[in-house]
Amino acid sequence: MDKYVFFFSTVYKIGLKTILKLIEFFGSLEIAFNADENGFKKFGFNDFIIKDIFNKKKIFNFDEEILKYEKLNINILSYFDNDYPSILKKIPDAPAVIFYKGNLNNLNNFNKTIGVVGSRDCSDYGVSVTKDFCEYFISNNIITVSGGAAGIDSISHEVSISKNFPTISVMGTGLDVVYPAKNKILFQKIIENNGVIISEFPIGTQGLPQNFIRRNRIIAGLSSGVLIVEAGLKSGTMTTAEFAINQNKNVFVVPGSIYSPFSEGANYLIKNGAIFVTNPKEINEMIWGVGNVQNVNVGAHCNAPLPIDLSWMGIDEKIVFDLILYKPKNIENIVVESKLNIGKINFILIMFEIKGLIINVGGMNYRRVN
Amino acid sequence: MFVTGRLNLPSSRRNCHLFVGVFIYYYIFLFWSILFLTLFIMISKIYSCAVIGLDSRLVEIESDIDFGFQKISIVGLPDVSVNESKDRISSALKNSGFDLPRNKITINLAPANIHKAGTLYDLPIALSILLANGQLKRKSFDFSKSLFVGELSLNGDLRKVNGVLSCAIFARENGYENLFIPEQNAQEAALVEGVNVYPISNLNHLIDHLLNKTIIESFKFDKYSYFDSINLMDDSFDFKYIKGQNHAKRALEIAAAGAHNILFYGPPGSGKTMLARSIVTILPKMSEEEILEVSRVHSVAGLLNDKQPIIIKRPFRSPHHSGSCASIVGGGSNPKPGEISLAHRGVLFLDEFPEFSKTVLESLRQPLEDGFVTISRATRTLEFPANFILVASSNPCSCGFFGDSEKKCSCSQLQILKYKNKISGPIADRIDMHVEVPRINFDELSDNNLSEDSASVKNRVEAVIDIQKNRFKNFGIINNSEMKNKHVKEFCKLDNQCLELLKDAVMSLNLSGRAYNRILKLARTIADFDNSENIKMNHIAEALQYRRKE
Repeated sequence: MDKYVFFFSTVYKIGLKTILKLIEFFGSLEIAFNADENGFKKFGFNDFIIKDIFNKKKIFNFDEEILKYEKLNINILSYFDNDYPSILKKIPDAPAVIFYKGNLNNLNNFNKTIGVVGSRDCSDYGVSVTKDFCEYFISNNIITVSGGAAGIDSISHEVSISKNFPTISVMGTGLDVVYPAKNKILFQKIIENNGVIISEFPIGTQGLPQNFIRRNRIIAGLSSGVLIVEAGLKSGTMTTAEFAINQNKNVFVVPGSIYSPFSEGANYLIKNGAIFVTNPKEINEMIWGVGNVQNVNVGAHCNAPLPIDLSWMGIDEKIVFDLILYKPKNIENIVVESKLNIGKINFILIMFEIKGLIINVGGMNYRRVN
Repeated sequence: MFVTGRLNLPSSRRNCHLFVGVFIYYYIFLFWSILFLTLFIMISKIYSCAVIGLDSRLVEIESDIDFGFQKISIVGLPDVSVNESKDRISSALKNSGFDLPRNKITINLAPANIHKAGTLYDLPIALSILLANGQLKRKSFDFSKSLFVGELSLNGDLRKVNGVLSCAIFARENGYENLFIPEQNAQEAALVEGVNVYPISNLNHLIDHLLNKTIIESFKFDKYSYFDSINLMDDSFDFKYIKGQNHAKRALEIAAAGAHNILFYGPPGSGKTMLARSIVTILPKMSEEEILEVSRVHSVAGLLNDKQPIIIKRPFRSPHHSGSCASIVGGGSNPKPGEISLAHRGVLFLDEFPEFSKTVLESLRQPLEDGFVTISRATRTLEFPANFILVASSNPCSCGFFGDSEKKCSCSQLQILKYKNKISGPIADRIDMHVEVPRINFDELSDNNLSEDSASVKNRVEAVIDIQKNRFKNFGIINNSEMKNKHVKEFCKLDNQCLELLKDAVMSLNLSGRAYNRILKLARTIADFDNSENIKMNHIAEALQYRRKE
């Protein structure tokens, strides 16, 4: 970790581009660090930035700062370090310094990453799509990158954790801040699970809206392509798509119902040229050129009858089971259509639920489990 | 008698005569003064009672008339309403044609250590004044076996007072034969058998009765025919008008039968409130004992009136969520029963449950557990009954659409979490049934499914309640929901199949250990609907359907 990169990255409005220019202008950052006001003026900094530099220089104590991060088990990498993820170096506005917790080696070992992003409030459809796609990625040694937010992000991380597979979470806050607070345990599990939590923000940075948008740039940067599951029309997910396009990466979108408010943004992206996917294999094929598109079989979850043991079922159970398909059905409709007693239906539904045949997706709506 | 000396007697002898004379004068004076005291100026005693909480205590009212400027002073911890009664009494006495003694009147309310509040002492104080100055003859009536209660108006008419039912119960328990009360309170007092209730309309009538001039007949009340005359069925919330929601209706039926607390949650407009209100139509009739209990609470709270002299319908209380802790749980410096006690033996409906203040919700813990509430003040500790079915309704989040499949929820994660956390774990644990009420697209429902009406549901509920009564007749409880752990052990035995099912449920449905007893109690009620001695698998399964979903 270079002391001077760390110092300049903390200064207001100085990013990687300016740091590179400083090196070019002064010869090295050390010279720049010791330069006087006129030197900076010649370089073209305005008074405000110069004032900030000198103020920060007065109180800057590199060893103390590093100690703070060490205490929190946070590692620091600068753009010039060898360990800095090569995939991130390629993007135009890569962060000069990144902070991380966990094991970053996986990034280079597996070499295949995919961003999985979506809206914080998602429908049952979004949840099952994320689960199915992530399970495929894991079985194909593709690491998922996501934002650690609620909804789709959390689900993609959770799938990796349940399969003991590393996952990458990019935060919009300092690494000592847990946002959203309810994901505290999830983040711990990501680290325990050989995954990594990355942020470009120094410790103590709170979750400001603009930080999350900058965070999305790194999600796209760390991924070979970005999968968008469900997104509202004006959501952070849309900015991730924008960053991915600017970084010349593929944006894959899972379509949603045209009536669903959860999929408005996703459908908009498809309309505007994003890649329409119905199967995770298509993504694998598109980015890394493996797999055979002909063998694609996502629809398997949805259409083909699963070998379910129906022998234990009585007549009533069969009637109810046949009524419940993959589209969620309300208990009220089940009552009306089956013409059975509500007590009996309650019994049957709970038995199905315990046996894992159906799930209650909320609002007393039931659908079959894939 | 006059003593005159004779002139011829020696002087010493004459002195002796004088000495005797003084003594005789003295004794004559003493005789007349005692006679005067016993006949006219005499301390008089009238019995009345104080209502403290729901109970009554005897209050002796003594009046003494002494020489001095005209003044009435009331001693014995009277509060303002009692102290003001002297002005009402003096006007009432004047306007009824009696003389108010132009002397100093001291009225003592004994025992002097209990706080006296309310207007019910007007009548007994007035009587004791009349008794003290001899306008009412002590011999004409035996005051020691009678209790007097009532508020006076300025013209001598009697006004209704609160807590008469408690007074009547006190009279019966303590052997007071006669109870004189305002006319409007007659019906509630007559609920208590074994006491002669005399309805008084006017002070003069009472005096005439006490002087044996015109006799007031004791109030005869045929309560059974009165009970039957009240139409218990409120048609407007009948089950038959609720379309669909069979799931929620079945849950209500179970809740009503086993007195289980129930929480409905779902988006706005899904019919939670309508469902909750309809529970009254399927609750069984109150027994006579219950009518007495409920009317007593309402009597103390002053909620009985001409239209509703006795509470015969099961109470349904739905306080607004802005209500204070004292109004809902009961309280005040002179504690009065709150909404939860007014809902005793009935339904307490808390609409928008999470919107109630934290203190209100948390203070529901004790009553939900014990069926009564203890209110402690510096001066006293009171107990009010509060055995009610809690029916609560809630939205899943503040905008109401969290989890809805069609409409998007506009709340942030934090807001949703905050909203959910408003109902604390201990409170949610005391609610046996958590029922989701979804929005229903009614077009999807075929129109020809006729809903069952409340009357037939009620029949089933009453049958289940009879089963429970039989089961618990030696255990001091009535409903399945009141079962304690030892009762659960005895009456909710499970076979291996059921245990297996519960084990599976704990695994696959994320059930907490605390939910276990709740599910057993609920399964007991569901089994009672099948008239089944043992809890079977389908009963457990249905009970699981009403679990709390995380």
